[in-house]
Amino acid sequence: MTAALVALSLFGATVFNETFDRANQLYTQADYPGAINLYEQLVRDGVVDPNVFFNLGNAYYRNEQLGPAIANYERALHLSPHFESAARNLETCVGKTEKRLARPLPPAWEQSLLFWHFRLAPGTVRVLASLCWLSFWVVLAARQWRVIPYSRLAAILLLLASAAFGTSSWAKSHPLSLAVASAERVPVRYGIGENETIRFELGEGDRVAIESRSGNWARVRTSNGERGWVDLSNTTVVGPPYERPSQSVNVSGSGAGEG
Amino acid sequence: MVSRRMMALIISLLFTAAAQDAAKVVLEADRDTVGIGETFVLTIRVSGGGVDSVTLPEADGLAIEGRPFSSSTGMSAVNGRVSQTNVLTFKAQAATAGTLTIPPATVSVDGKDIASNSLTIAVSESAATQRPRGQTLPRPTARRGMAPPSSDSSPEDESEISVEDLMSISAEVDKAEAYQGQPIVLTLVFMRMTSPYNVNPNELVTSLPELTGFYALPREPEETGPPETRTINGREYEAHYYKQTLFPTTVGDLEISAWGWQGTLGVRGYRPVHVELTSKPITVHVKPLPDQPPAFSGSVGTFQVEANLDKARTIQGVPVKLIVRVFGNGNPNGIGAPKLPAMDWAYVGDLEKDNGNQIAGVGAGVDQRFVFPITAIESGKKTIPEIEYCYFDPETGAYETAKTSALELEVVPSAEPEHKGVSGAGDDTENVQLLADDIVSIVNDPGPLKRSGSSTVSTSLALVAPPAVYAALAMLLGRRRRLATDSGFARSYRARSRVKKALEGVRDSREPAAALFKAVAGFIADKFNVPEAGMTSIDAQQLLDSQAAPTDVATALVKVLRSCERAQYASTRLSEDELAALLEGASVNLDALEAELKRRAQK
Repeated sequence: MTAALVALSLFGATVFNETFDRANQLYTQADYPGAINLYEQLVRDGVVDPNVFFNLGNAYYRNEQLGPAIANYERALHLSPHFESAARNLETCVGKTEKRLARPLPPAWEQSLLFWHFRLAPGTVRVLASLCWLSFWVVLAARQWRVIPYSRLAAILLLLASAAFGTSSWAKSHPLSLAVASAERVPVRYGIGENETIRFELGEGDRVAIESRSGNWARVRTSNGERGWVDLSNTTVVGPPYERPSQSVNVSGSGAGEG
Repeated sequence: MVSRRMMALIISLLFTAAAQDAAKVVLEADRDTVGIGETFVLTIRVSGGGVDSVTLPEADGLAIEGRPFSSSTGMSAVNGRVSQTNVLTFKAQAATAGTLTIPPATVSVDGKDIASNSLTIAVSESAATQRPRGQTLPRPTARRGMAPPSSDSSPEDESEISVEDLMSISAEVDKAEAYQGQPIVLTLVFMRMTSPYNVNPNELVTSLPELTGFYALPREPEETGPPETRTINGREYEAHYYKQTLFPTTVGDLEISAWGWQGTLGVRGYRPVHVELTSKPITVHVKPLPDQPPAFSGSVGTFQVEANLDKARTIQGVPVKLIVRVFGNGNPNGIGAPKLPAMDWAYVGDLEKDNGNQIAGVGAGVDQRFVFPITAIESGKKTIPEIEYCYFDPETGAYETAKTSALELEVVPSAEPEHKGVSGAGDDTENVQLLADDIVSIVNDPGPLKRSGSSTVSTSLALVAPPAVYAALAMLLGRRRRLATDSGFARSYRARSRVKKALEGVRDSREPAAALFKAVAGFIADKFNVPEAGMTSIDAQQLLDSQAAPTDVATALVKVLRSCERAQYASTRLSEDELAALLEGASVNLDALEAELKRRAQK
């Protein structure tokens, strides 16, 4: 049974890597729409990997789609905060936006209580939380067996660490919902609907935090604290879930639909 | 009641008499001579009835405002006759010089059209030099006139009082010489006599002074404060002050033209008097500003500046607001923005002007805020240097510089990539350039790619499994500890296994009855934690009764014990059948006893 699962896993990995390699090949041949399609297919198949998002960001950038490029670099950095190349490319893209708006900040409680977790990957935090939790119960069990010096203190510390890493893990799996403007001009309105008065406009690549959603409309906040309603079809939502941008690319590459 | 009816009858008769009195309409002008375009007053007096409608006279070169600017109604009874009088006044102007004949006005009085008299007035090219009729007033206390306030005469003089004595207007400025942009306060003074005559002015036209070459705040003069009471030559006047702040926009001699007032003056007991008053024009000499230093902000006046940040701590890449407040005296619309010093560590965004606290109205009070978005591109403790604000102080005749204090800003590193490639500072956005313009290329070897599994199951397992294992382990260890320390619990816990083993060995024993007795008595002793040695069937019965064991179980077990005792003491061996029956009875009832004890323990 185990052997079968391992074999299936290896087979899946091989298929995904083949798709990834084909997408890279299209990218090097400057067939960016084709590459985008293949990378997006990997994401659609459930492959959540910072390298895929990074390459997808590059393909969007080369295809002159700044908004989706920034969204995918954000995804890569969320999964791997130390991904220096993604950070560099994100910086380049943000530098090309008109307003160079900063990324909206996470909630105040997260900034103050979890100030230490922004450079940790979600997987790392999850493993640390599990280890601390398991260790806490092991220490408790050991105390049942025999008296161990400082075991009470160790248990308290492990419980606190479990709570901290657990909260961090929850926060990582429910990150600040970001949307990136994907059109040249994205109007932000006072209310829901095309007839509402425009409050301000976002330029392509501007990142906003989604505070609430109503259908395809979202109440967004910029890093400057300005708020309004925006039609999400003009944006790329960073996620998770990792959705493809609403404004689809003009597919002309040979790799489209393969995989 | 009778008196009321009588009164009503009298009033009815009086009104009937009034109605029967012949109605009369008189047309009057307040002067005989007017200038072209000069406003004069036409009065229509109607007596002897109520006015239904008025048809105004029409003539070439005559313009009459369609609506009366005042109207009054009165009733009087003379020699038993009641008379109703209506007075309507209209503003009129003549357009052509010469003799103007105003045809009769027609008034519908109680349904009957009655024509007034006609009028003839002279219209001159220039403003009328003739004073309006009724320009002088007799002294109220049987004297012929009153003295003007400007002369040395006292109110006891027999001379008449002119209309200028009844009311006057004037204009004045607080300085006759000023620098360009320096605030000048223009004050318009309006005085009316309150004693011995209480003059009630009725304004027709007010022409404000022309202010060519000045920027004025507010756009029209505003009355400042309540009226003052002034006493001049023993006469009391009520003075109203209207002020306006002027800022010269050009240099040279600028003229503030005269302001005028036209209207009627009413004094109780006398006919209204039409008057025209004008002030004297004022000339202000405006000097140019001396040579301007490069840092000059363009502001003229006296100012102070202060600066603050909306927060003292920020994250790299997140803008803070630097608010520079300029306040003092000067032209609010001539306040130039302060120039920020260079800051290599920050990007300064577009200036936002906040006029929220601008002081409105008369005076040159200024309180303006300039908001600069500052985005730190480096982390660490940063300093915003002193901000200098250079202005021209007209009081000293020199350029002065006000300074803010330096501000500290703590910039913490951001999780966002640092803006390493951004250079430039200050508000010169053109200098901000990206040094690295292209992107890092794609990843070719990502390692094995796999589908991301659902974390819900693994998370639930990771959360639930450790405490479950711990709970089982804790129960196990707790039982072991109790068995080691609680002999009663240990005897009771092990009684079942002991009696089972003992019953299995009964048949092979040399003394089966003794072995069976020992097994059953031992089980009862273990379960109730009493000494087993020396226990008899009577002891067992008492013990079972004291522990409220079920009667049938207790009886059966005691019977087994007594059978064993009889066999022991009678020196007769139990037959196989008897032994089997006793073993069966012992086994069944011991199980029943244990079940009952477990049930009680669970309760």
